[in-house]
Amino acid sequence: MTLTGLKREEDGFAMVTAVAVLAIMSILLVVVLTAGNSAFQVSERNARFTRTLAVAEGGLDDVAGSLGVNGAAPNLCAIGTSDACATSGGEYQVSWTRAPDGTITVTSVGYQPTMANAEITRKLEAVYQPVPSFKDVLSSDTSIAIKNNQVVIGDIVANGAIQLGTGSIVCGSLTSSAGGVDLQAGAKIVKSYDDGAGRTCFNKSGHVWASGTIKMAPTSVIEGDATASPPAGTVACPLIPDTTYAILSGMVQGNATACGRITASSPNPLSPYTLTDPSLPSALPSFTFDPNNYTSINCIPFSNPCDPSITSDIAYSQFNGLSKVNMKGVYAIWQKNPSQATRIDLTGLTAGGDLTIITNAPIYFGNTTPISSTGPALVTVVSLYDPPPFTTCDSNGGECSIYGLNSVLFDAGDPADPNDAVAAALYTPGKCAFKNEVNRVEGAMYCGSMDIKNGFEITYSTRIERIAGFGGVLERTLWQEISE
Amino acid sequence: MITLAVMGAIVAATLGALFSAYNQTGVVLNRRDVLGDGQIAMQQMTKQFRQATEINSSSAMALDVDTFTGVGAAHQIVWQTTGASAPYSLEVSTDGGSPKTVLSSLTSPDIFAYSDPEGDGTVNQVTIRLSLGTKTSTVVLTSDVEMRNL
Repeated sequence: MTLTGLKREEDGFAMVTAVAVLAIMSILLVVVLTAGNSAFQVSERNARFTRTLAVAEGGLDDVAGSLGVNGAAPNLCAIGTSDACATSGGEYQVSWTRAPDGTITVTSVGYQPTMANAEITRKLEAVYQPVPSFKDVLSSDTSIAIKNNQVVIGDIVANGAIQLGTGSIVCGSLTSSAGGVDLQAGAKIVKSYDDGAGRTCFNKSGHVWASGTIKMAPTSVIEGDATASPPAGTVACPLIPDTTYAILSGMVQGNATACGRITASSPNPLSPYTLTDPSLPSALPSFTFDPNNYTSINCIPFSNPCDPSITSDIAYSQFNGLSKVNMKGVYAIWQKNPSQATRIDLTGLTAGGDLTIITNAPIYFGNTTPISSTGPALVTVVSLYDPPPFTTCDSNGGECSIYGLNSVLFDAGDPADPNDAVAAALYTPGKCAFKNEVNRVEGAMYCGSMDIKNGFEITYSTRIERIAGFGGVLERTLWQEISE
Repeated sequence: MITLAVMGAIVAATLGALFSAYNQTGVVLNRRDVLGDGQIAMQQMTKQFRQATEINSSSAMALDVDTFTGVGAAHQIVWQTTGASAPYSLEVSTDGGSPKTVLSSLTSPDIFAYSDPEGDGTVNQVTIRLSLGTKTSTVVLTSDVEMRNL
């Protein structure tokens, strides 16, 4: 090869080098762009992941809203079907189950961008329950009297006067929106209590709030604050005489405030002749019978769905003919022309599980042996019986919506274990009364009017705080994301 | 000579571009990795805090909650920052187990702030702020989490 030839073969070398350089730079450019694009894709996926949560949560909200309005609302986009509901940012499917106590568990699956072409899926589960309607241990539209030496654990609310008999103890608070409070010798409102046998109570307020005079025996004690308010609309205190809306005698360990005079002793400065607002009248929670609240109902007379307007002359006798041993489930008894002659008789009742009895007839617990259970059980008794006008219901009976005689003793199990045995809710917008002092329950009792001065020992249980049919709207009590 | 000169210039330019691109790619990849770690940590924290049923203890550097982890009962999860100086680490432990480091590029150990948006006395919102130090700058990720069960 000649020198000329070699020289000729170097021609184009610069171009080859330039092409190689361009190739290297192109590769570098691709690497840089890929790295940048990767970061963008990660951010975009995160954004879509977050949007899918909102889609699934939208499904939960839609179910809660529709079931709150209509317990029989249809499911238009059930999980497992090909139907999906569209919402902003994607689609969702839902399903729900209902527990005997009215608890609804909703599952919602969110899809992004659509169910058919889902790139991201998130699954949520939420539990909805009736809002708490039973927060007090005793509630009455009229007055309440507690028998001598009895112990009540929980808050007491009345729209009339409240009387505590000699030596009685309330671990909780007293609120009367339209009446005074009378504490007889040795009666106490305490913040904590321990009977030494497992029946305990802690962290209560010990407050008394009356829309009237708080009349205390010299040996009675209020461990919290005591407030005696005048009627709404009062513009100045004291009223005449100043012994009205007053706090008279006894010991108030918290702050004592009254429109009238204060003769109680207290370690704190007293505030007599002080204007305060009365408590608002308490209203019993209203009950709405909705068959959709229950997974199954023993409806007497039979109708499906169970219809309270379909009544029978013999509904009460059909129910009374059933065995009351280990009873469980939901019973709805709709009696035609209910009266004391057609009352529901729960003598000999024992619970085989959660038990709900709803009726428009009077309910009778007569000489009932201890109402035991085979395990933890919630017993809900609802009487919608409206006694005739100008009739009475007292410890001797009469026109009562719920009446108990002698040993109405719900088995509370171990007093130190609030979750065992029977917790009971007794409810009537009508009248209730119990006779003799061995009546006892763990739960709550709400009555339009109440006569328990003959004896009724009760301990509040949060187990009956939420009951299907009370409270109307649903409240979310648990929310969680489920891994698929 | 001319060819050599041109080639020298081209090679110099190429090496310069190569070096610059290498550095830039390193910066971009570092930022991507740090950001990715931060986003994964943020996603885990928001998911767990969102469904917390109980706050056991809380501070700017640590949050200890009972929460669900996908299936079954709730577990105790603790997220906390560690280190005496930047870069600080973010660790998570489950049910009292040994902590696992999730990221180690925090420029500040204070990542949690708490609030009560409803004003009902219940603290049920946590703001998570991750200041992530990259080779050239600090990237901040922030998320507000409403604790649905509180």
